[in-house]
Amino acid sequence: MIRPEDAVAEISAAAVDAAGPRRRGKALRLLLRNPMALSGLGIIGLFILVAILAPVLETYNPTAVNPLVALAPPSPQHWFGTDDVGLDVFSRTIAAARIDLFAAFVVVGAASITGSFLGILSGWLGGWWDEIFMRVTDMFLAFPALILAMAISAVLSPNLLNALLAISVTFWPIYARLARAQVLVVKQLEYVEAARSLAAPTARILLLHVVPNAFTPMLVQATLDMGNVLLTAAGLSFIGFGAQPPTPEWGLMVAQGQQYLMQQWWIATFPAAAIFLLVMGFNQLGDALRDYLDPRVRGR
Amino acid sequence: MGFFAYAIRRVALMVLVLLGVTAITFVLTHVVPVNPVLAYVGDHAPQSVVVAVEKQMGLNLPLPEQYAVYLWNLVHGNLGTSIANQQPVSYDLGLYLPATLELSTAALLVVIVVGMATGVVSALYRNTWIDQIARLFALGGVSLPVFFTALVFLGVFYVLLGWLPGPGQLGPYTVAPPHITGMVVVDALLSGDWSTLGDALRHLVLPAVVLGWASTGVVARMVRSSLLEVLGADYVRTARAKGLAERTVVLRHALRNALIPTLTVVGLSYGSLLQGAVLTETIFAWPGIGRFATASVTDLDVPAVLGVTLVAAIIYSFVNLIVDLLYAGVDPRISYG
Repeated sequence: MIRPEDAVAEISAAAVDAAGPRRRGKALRLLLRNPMALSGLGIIGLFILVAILAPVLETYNPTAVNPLVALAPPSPQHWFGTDDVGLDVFSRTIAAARIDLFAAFVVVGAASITGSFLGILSGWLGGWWDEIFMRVTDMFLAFPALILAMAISAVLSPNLLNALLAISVTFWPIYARLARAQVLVVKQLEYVEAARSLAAPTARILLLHVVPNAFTPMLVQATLDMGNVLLTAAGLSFIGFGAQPPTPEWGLMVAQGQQYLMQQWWIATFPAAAIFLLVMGFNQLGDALRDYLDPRVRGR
Repeated sequence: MGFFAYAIRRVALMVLVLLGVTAITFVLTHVVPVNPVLAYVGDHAPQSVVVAVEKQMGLNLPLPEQYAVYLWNLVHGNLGTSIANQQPVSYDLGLYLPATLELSTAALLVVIVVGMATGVVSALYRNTWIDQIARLFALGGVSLPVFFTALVFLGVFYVLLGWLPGPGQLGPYTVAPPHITGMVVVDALLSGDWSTLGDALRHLVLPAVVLGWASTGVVARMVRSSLLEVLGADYVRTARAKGLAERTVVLRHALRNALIPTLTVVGLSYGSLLQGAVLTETIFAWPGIGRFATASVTDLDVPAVLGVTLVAAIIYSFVNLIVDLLYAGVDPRISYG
């Protein structure tokens, strides 16, 4: 029996599978002409570049306090101005790019790999194990991500690594479900039945069929999740349960600048703009990917 | 199988999931690195006192038994005692929950109305500049960090322009309406206190809009894509061929069917609303469980934080139950057998 909420995921998964590898390749080439996708890719690429080159691009040491120039507006000396203890906002913003991007990649990587591994296992085993595992994912999905992350952070000590762990715990179930949906579709395909009746090794079937087909919806999910993880991590840091001072992190910087927002607007605005741009980039790319790789939408 | 059988099965599923949720929160109570007994009696207490307190707290029982006690307490509404103010956590939650329900319901209205309008406009004028602007608006809402949006809106509409009141549920000179539901807008309405109602609504606008904007993008996107899909269907072509006005075609025939997947997304977005409420309430000094959660986390008040976590999961589960049942009742294509 298909539950309505599984139906949506599985129909998408089946539709993508039916597209086949050659159509997917063509779709990807079309994708690269889509302005949204290009914009998203461009933004993400820019941020990655900035993050890698941060030590070179920094104009000041991001943790070097200088009270003499505190609360200075943007100027040729301090491109994004300085904050209440004289830290250079530009240097901190680009240094934070490293930390935030790294954090997002780590969380999405860990969540997607763990989740899909467990999901594939569950889908392949089927039966009671599958039912139980699905209930377990339901349990984790019942918690709003930020709130569960807050609870985990309150229980462990507040630092960035614990925050990332907490966030990963809330993001893995989706990948498990996507991977499982793919396994269920593949299991029913005739040529897989044929392969199994010929006693082809399970691992080979999984690698040749499940993984390539699961890849697409998971890529879409991962791209969109990068933005969500960034927002959740920034939110945690904003309330003081992610990165700790003096670490440069965008959410933390907004928190530190919030009381100055009306006069010294630059302290909170530049890091917030960074979050906004990067999240928007991931959302644009994710939306474009989803539109192009789902043949139902592509048909117009 | 029929709808009722499905409904019963779905409710049973929710109960099972909530059981698992309590298991997760129970595990979290025991993962705290600080030994709760020593935190209570101090590091230098004699062993006999430590053992006695351990017994009193029930910590000498095997874990499954402790879990059973935990569940027993939960079922009786005992969520533990807040470390910060020594009050029962359930008391605090009861105090703050109505304000959050008020805010998230208002935000949900914003999400539904604005999200659907944006999605419909986007679909009707697809690929024109109207579509682009609508999508940008939706994208902006989803990409902006809600805590920054809250700060900016407060700064612009309250501090700079003075169009709307500042933080809080009511102004400092407004007397709260008699406590019927705990939701200020509802209570003011029920007791006919129009000036308080006006004040409460004016205070509700900014946080509801901020919170709602963050989730409109997801709904708008879903409405747009499902409407586009539906508009390509045969029965729509028939309706057009019959000579019906485009407006009738869209609003009467297409939209109704496009609403079905949208319902699921609206339910899912309630989870984002609960999360966003944590940050929004903190900035707007809104007396809800979100702000309570932030304060408790800052105080490292674990029982309080876990209380909020549990309640949030319960609320979200109920919302998804309602959505699933509505979805099953509304979509004639789903069969249950």
